[in-house]
Amino acid sequence: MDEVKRQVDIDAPAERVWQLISRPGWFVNGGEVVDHETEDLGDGVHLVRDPVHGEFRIETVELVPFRYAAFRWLGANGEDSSTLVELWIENKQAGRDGQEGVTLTVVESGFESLGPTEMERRRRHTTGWETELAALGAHLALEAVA
Amino acid sequence: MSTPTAAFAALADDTRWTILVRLGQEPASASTLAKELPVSRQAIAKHLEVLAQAGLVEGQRHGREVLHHPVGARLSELGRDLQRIGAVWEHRLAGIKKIAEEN
Repeated sequence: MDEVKRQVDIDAPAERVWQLISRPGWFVNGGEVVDHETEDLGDGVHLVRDPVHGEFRIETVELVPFRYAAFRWLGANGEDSSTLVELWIENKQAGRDGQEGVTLTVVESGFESLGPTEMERRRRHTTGWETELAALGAHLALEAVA
Repeated sequence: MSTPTAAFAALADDTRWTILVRLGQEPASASTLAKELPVSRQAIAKHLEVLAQAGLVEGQRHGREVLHHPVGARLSELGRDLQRIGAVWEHRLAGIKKIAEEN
């Protein structure tokens, strides 16, 4: 079992959430929607430069507007190993106040394919973000997790 | 298919136990093990084969060499990694939620 799945309910229209999660490499951070420097390398691949954590290549695999986005988080140095990041936006039923919202689900899979070097790189990336988030206060995650 | 009996039999040998402990510290190739331990390259290969058959060790190709690692340790290492990666995804989703709901 080598996948990670998380979910969150959002009180906003699907279009709004789509706007945020369909940009390649948006997730190369710990939660803030930072405007990364992005370079289009062609063939659906973008080079995403995070000022703190370095460069990452992200391939856009599939986009179904307002519904589904799939990206491949490629390894460095042209390695074949990669993880697949899939996102689903599903409508929720309107609540008592008539407010409609969506459920955003993410699944990242394929970690077994990462070699020791790439896994170490991801580990460092994760550790870097953990430190920063601890400083910001991790209470947001505790509130938001479905 | 490895059985508990095969695993115990595999571990009954002192050298194989030493190899397993050494691999638990850090994955290594057969060549590296032969350099570090007072065991011939040939014997190392044979021991690794017995350990692999018993499901205790797995080899993964990394570049031109094969690195061996204990299976149990690898699984718990991966489990820890997945847990932490999961935590970072929670933060990312929380960030999206915050910004999407702002307007």
